[in-house]
Amino acid sequence: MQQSEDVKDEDLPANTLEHFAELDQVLEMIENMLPIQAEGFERGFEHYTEVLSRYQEQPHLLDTHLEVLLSRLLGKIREAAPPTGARDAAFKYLYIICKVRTYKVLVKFMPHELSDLEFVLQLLEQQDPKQFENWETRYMLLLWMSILVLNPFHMSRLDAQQLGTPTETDENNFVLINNVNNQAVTVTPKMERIFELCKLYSSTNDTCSSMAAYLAAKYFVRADIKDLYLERYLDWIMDQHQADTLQVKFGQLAAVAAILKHGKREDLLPYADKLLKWIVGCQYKDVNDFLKYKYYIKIVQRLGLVHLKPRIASWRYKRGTRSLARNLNQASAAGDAEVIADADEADADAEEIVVPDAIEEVIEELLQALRSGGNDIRWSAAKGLGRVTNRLPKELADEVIGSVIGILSPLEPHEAWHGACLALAELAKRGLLLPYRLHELVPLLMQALFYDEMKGYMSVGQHIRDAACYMCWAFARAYNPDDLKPFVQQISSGLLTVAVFDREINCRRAASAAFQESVGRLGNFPYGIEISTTTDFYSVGLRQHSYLVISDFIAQYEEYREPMIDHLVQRKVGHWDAAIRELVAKALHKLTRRAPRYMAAVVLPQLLAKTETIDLNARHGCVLAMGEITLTLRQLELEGPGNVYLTNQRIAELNELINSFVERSYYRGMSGELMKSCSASFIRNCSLAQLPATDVCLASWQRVIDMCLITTSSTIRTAAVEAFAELSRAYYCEEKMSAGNAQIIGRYLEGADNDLEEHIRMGHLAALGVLPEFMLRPQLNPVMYKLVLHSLTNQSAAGDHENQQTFRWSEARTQSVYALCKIVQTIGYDDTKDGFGNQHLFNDVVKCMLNAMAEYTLDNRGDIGAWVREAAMTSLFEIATTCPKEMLEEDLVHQIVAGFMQQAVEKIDRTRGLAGRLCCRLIHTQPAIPHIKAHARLLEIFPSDENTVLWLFADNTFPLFCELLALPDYSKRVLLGLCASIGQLTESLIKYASNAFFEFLRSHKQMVPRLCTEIIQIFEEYLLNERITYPMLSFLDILMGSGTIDAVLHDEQNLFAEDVYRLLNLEVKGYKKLYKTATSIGTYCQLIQVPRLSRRIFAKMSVFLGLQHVHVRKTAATKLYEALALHGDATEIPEENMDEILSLLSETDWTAPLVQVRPLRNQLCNLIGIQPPVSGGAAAANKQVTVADK
Amino acid sequence: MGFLTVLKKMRQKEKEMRILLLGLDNAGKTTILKRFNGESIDTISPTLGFNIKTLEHNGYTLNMWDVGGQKSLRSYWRNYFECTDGLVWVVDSADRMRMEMCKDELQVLLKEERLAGATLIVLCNKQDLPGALSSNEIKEILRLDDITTHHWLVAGVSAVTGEKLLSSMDWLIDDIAKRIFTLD
Repeated sequence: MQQSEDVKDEDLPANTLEHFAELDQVLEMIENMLPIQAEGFERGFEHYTEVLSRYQEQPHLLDTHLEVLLSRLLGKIREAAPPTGARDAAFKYLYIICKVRTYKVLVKFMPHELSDLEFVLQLLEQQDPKQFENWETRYMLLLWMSILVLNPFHMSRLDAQQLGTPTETDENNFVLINNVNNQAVTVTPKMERIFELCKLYSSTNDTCSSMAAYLAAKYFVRADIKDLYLERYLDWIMDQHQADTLQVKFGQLAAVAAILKHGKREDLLPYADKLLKWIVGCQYKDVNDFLKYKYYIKIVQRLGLVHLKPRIASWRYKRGTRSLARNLNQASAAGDAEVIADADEADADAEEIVVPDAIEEVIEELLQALRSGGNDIRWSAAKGLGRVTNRLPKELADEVIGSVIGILSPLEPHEAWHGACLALAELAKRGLLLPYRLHELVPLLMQALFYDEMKGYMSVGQHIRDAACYMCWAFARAYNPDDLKPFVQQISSGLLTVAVFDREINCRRAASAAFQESVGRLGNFPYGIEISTTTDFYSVGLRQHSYLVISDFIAQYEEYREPMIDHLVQRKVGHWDAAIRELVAKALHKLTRRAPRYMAAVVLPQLLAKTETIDLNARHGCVLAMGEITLTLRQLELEGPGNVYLTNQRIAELNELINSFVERSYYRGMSGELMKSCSASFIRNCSLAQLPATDVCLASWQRVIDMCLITTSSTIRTAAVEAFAELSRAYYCEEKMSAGNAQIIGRYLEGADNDLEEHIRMGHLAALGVLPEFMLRPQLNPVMYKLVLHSLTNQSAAGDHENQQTFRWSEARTQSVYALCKIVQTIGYDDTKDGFGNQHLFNDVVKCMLNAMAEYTLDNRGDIGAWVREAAMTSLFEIATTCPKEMLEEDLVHQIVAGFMQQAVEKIDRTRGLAGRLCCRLIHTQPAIPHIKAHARLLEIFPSDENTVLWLFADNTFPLFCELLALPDYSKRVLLGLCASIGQLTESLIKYASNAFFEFLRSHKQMVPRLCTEIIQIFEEYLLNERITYPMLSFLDILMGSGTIDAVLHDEQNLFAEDVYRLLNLEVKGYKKLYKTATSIGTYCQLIQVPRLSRRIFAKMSVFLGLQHVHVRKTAATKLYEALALHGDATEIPEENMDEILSLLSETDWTAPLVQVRPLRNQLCNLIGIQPPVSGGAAAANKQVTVADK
Repeated sequence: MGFLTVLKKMRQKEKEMRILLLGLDNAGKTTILKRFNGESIDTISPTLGFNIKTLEHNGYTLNMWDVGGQKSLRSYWRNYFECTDGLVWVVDSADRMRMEMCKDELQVLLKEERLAGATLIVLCNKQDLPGALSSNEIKEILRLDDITTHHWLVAGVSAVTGEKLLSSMDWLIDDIAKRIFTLD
């Protein structure tokens, strides 16, 4: 509560509502409400539900308006003769308010005038309890009834009210009416009718039964009703539940539970024994049905309460105010100022408490239920145990507590631990745990706080840790600070450890809440205020943040520092979740600065010892942690010359570690993967730390890295590459290593050629990329050309150097491109033979990347070439912006810029976004890149602040790039890209791309002929290259259909249309590819609008209509129909035939066999006025006939 | 369900109090309630049945239950005892004739198990009328000093003038808030 108030002031993203803003709207909706069977009812109701449901989380905002909402709805309900269904509709609306505000609150706002009783009663009796559509009506009526029966009049008098007016004031009048009534009892009395309704509705197994239970509880506990009906009702239920465990009516059980809850103890006592006997006799706890067991346990515990007199906790005024929020400000003073009287005093003089035998059974049942498998049942049992024990005499209560504590044994299952922790929390909350128990309990509490056991493949303990936090919270509320004093250190550091280091968010938050409560109520937690403001509900929500930031903050206080470190080392280093182990290592890295001596002297030996265990997780975590700690310790040593933390012995042990793993074959098999990843991290950290290392050690490290480079896991490879970069930089620079260095490079070059496994090649390529300068320079040429070679597909690389399999290795090529870029950065641009100042080398690199930018490899993952293209773009950008500007040759610069532009209008969003961003940045680079064509215009088109454009969104980027079509230098490349985007299948992309394109064409009419020529050039250039031509077909279809190039189409001088026709014919020649042929039909049909071509198109279509592919025939018919309908009048087809042609096209079943279809096709040809085509075979046969005739 | 759920529920509930207004008929219970709620007190007729009012005061939500005090209704007061945090016993200070009855009714009430632990405030109403008994006199007559089971306070008030009404309610709320809250 307190936290959320704090947060309100800050501008954090939040979804909180301030007040019920939609009141008028909702009132209007109520006013215009339709009866349920009306057509618009559902829509109106859904809308209303949606509006109100916004307040589900903050329902109190409705409070001030409930009265008016209710009065409107009830007004509709009370109407004397409402239209059919109107009342049900009103009840449905009412129910939604009830759902949002909860029935317990809403019921207080329901009217309870006596005059309503008969109305509600009648309405309820008219309902059909089995009718499932309008259950809300029954639900709300039962709820309404439950407040109506609270009236303070004798029920028997109410029947008379129909005669008299309900506004009579004098009590004498009632007596009078009563007398009148006695003479005329012909109808069933109301009492009886309500009784019957309770019976009826508590037997239905729907939602209404819980309302019926609530009503029953209010009704049967009335002074005038209990004597007449309570026993009857209970007997009836007991009768219904005679050992029948299958047909259980939950409503009836709920009703018993509710009556026991709301009733007056003395009234219920006579039935308690009978009920207990009955419920224990029902076998509800043995069946594996938690719902039955839940009601069972509720009834049992309340029966226990009926037997015992309530007691008021004598200490309740001594433990501060209800709400901590108000208390916290004066927290420090609160503890001392209170007058501390002995809490036991009051108990001593309390009168003798009689404990009936039944209690023993109740307690036994509750203790058993603490171990149940159902979470709800354990909660219920724990609360029940708290309540019942609260009423027991001291000795007995202590006995109960003893048995609960007894449950906390290592032999008990986790459910039992959870249940017991909850019960202890409930007992502590009520002040029943006497301080002397703490000695025994606190160690168990600590166990529960850190309970985390593997069970199969999952871990259990989350709920136990949560419950343990509850226990701490309860301690804080119930105990005097002095009682807890001896345990403050343990509990406070325990709670903080959970708040910071628990894996689960709810446990961290629970611990932080418990800590806060303890700080406020006890006031003796060290640095409580400072810490609890930092570890609040929100800040512990992010695990990374709490591990790395909050833990460091808390560790500044000595009291918590070592307990936290110890916890990590003992409990978390070997945690089952690898993500936690990694976080632990990082956290230890930070904490080492707080306690370097402790880490070096105590923690490192502990971790080292654990590296020999057979527990793989522990080994992994330890190695990670040791690397991180070593790094910090060395950093501290290097910062101050006087600091020495690592003894020679320690250094020797660290040196030996990896080698010993190698000797023990820890890197084999499945477990080897984990060992590899932690070892790589360890090596990297030690190298960064420049830990003194022996030759043996270095050899072992190199060996492990070599192993890691060839694993299939990319994370291990990445880790190994990082480790290798640091290792070589730190240790390989000495003269004596140079022979070994050459050997390593040789090995890696060889590994990069591997053509059996992609990941082996990738590992080696990446390793080549991170070589330090002193190793790389002597071998620059071989390394560079190896990378160039592997950056390109075999077609684009010189010569066919590899088998076909590597064709799909786009990931390896991506890696190679990045590696190439890295070595350029490492070597720099000095003008020597082995530097990239050498224009020849430089150009080779750039050309290689330009080629890589044209890779479009496809496999079952889609366009995997995109990775290479992205890598190439990123690298080109890096190089172009960092190299000396005079090295950039004109031709290459143009290719780079034009390439980026083309990529920026292609089909993949991610690639397009990257290309657009880089292109924009490149153009605005300072100092400017030379040789960019039309640079001035480009600077105008692209904004200098790249963040003003949403590069991933097509509607943002396409209009920008379409502007480039005006520049002949770039337009062809942009068109190439556009054609790929517009000809695609993605609808949104087509929409935005074509809108931008057509918009440009419309506003630049004079450029259309040039662009059309360029389109033809592209088509011709890429003819039969399906990556381009497939989308090209659709692109042309859309383009010609758009009307933007009509001028060109109708210009007799322009050969565009003829060219399209010619190229189309070449592209689909032979009709081998079904989908390409089908796609081309649309393009063909667009040409019908060109009169000089239309006859040829009709001929083409008549061929398609007679082809054997059904799909082609159907498409041809549809498209032809559409085209004729649009452009028919521009053709030479006789007008009188048009209707027949169209109906023939649309009404013929073109999927019918060819024999049936072809005559129809021929008929169509005749109508159009062209020769029907003859198939090759038939033509030959014809010829023969003619020849024979001659 | 977990600890945080319990906490959330508690934080909602501990801001709420259930307060029961009782007393003989014509003591002025409904007038006091209306006065509190800022409603007009010009036309008030005897309460037939009961009223519930929900108000906000000092950051707490008060659920005030006001039940009619006629003799015939008194036996039904028990319907409303559940979960009561505070009991407001309203006395007509000018009704000297029925003081004894008033004492008896209060004593019956205080024996009630379900009201154990509730804070009691006795409002000696109608202090503005001539001949009204003072709060001290009423304390003696009702033998309030004998009460050890409840925290109590007696105050002379007037619903018509509003005298001391607010301060006595503040005391009641404060006393309830002072004790630690458990969800029972």
